[in-house]
Amino acid sequence: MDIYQTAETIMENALVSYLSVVTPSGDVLTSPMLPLYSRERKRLYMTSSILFSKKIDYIRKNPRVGVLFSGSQYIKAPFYAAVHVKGDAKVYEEDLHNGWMWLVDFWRRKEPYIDAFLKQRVALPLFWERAVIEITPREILLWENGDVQREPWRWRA
Amino acid sequence: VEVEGLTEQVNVEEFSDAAATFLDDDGYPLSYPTVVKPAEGGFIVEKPPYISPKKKLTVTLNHITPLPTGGYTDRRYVMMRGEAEVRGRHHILQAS
Repeated sequence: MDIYQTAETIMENALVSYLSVVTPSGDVLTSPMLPLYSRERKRLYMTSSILFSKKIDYIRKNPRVGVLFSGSQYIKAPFYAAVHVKGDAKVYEEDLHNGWMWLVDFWRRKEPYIDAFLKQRVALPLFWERAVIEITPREILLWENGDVQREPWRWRA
Repeated sequence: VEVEGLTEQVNVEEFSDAAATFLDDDGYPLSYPTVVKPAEGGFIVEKPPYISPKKKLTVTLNHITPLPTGGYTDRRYVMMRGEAEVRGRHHILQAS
């Protein structure tokens, strides 16, 4: 099994993931996030409204993050595996208004109704001021069929 | 959100997935899928046998309902942080 390619299929087809960040006091905060994976760039992307910017602050201070993909009902792939990615995150927030627009194609594949919301951007201006989180995978743990009783397959960069 | 008092407020059956997360030795958060059940004063959190437990544990209960036409609805989640004590194959998560 090619662990990385298998994980890519899961990342591409998951409707939700768990993004975990580390606070300055060493606590872990976890938020469900829509994962947007680019095979071309080999990077995982998420967008975050500036209304919910605490996680962005924490990533700026400590870029080490974890992302879990689990729940077979959330992953529309021909097979199921639970995948955890340890990665280094970078925040892009120079253009909060449009800097995330290049990700809309990825977003639309998972949430086809996103265009209807985009048409209402003026009604929810702060929600649509969004930073981009780019995650470079450093280590991947993969549990076939989500069976965590068995040790995961591992991939390291 | 602290755990204390949440056992009465949080109905774990309202969430279709759960993840446990701790800070691994390399400084990265490490998560694994888990099953959470209420217990007196906290929650029972299943753990894989090969995971080295950490005292600080974050548990996230999550739910969405996928739509047949794509996307999802019914989004809800709750994140709980506390101290975990290992008992056999489980963590017991209690308030910090």
